[in-house]
Amino acid sequence: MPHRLKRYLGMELAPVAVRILRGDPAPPGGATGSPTYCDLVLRAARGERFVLDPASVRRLSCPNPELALGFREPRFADVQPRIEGGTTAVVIGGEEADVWLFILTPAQVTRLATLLGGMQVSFRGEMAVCGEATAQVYRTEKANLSFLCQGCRELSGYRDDQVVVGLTPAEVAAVGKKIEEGRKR
Amino acid sequence: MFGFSEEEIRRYSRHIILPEVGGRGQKKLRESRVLVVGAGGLGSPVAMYLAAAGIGTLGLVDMDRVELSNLQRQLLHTTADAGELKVESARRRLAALNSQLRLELHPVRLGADNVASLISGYDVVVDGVDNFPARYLLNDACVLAGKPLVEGGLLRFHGMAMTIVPGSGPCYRCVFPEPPPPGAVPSCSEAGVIGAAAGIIGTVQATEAIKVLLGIGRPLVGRVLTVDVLEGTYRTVEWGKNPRCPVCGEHPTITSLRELAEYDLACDLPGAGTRAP
Amino acid sequence: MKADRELDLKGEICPYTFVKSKLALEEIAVGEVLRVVVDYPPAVENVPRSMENEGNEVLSVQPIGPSQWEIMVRKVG
Repeated sequence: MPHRLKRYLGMELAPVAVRILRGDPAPPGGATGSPTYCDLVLRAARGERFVLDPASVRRLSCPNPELALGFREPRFADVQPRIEGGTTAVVIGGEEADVWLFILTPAQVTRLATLLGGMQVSFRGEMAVCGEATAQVYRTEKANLSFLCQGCRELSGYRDDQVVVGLTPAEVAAVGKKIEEGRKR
Repeated sequence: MFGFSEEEIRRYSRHIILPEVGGRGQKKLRESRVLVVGAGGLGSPVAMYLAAAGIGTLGLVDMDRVELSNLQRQLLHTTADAGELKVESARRRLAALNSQLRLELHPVRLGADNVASLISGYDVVVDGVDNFPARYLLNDACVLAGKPLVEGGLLRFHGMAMTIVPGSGPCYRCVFPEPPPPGAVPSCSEAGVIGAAAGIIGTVQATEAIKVLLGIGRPLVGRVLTVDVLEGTYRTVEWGKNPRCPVCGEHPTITSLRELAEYDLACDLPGAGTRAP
Repeated sequence: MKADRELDLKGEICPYTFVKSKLALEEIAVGEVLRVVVDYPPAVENVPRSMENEGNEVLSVQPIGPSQWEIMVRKVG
């Protein structure tokens, strides 16, 4: 389904499955080095797969995903959007998804929004790919658009004309069905 | 903070967040003085990366003028610079890259008479020359002055790099005791050189200079990096000091700057003393 | 508690909240206290975390106004 959407929108990069494990033990092979979550998403869009466990998420060079993805609770100030604590691992890439991330140009978002029958989006340019596009979509079960954050723009490899949309698997399926029906008509 | 301006904090933020560099290291780079000998194939990436890295003062030695045949690898210079002194065209390029850089231009031929004074004011010397007389002269002068020297060489598809810290590792003569006889090794203009390989060796040299200045990591001291870009092989070969080295061995025969002779090794090119590969 | 050094990071966002607090901390002596003021919500969590990751001791984090926080950190090593 997500790949049908990729073809329809003419996407340069593959949709990225993000699986959020709550309570289940983390799969082996935690991500090494200190990339950012945004980096890993971009690399997964080119075919790689990564596991973030509590140790590897702590090594990330950006500390936001640890909070946004629910690996820990904030200590000093409530930071939103985030998933409540209790996450044991996050798998980026592969086929199993709780949230699908699409790296799109604004023109592609235009077409996607039409397919979705409109989008109510909320973003503030902070905790963007991890919070706005992943955590918020996971929690509200509604698509959201993120224009990324300053840190992501500076530290990761996104182009200025790239934004990230998060969709639930149900939305991906519904949109896929619409594309299919459109083709039949 | 460390006297950095807002612009400097932004410009060098990727250095500052590295624990090995930090604000302290970046300040040290700003206070450092590096001499790059040769503004050619190796000198170009060396000077450009060092300028970008925030080195405070860069000295540049080269007496040659820009020729069209240089432009295949010497990224400091552009087509419009043909005919101009390389140090002048380098000044424009480097100033555009980082206006805070202080440049000291030495459009002179490197010789036994001036090598000691040229290197004296600098913390590290980077070798970007293309000929053996200048290379041995620079090695001997740096060993005698106790000055760190980052060596680099390039021909056809092969390159090498090593860092010489007098006293703590081998010098160039420990590895290659004597210059090859005239004609034994062709020059770049005779044998050719793959331009992009100059980028590989030059960026290794720039990185080594930064490591030496900051005292971080493991510089290529006692190890020689050899690169064969055609094969895609990169090797480091361990190399100890040679006790019989004529300049840094137990009984050196080259003991004072006065004895630094310009080798009777004719290079077939004019301005050979500082001509870069 | 008296701070040995003050750092106003109001209006500053990631990654410069981190870059500047790291610079300020580098400059003070071991045992001295740095007071950082931030108004960027993620920084309230992230600056203390980064400082702890580098081995320092976060003494307190408190709101000091609408969307403004004060972070007190002691340099350890």
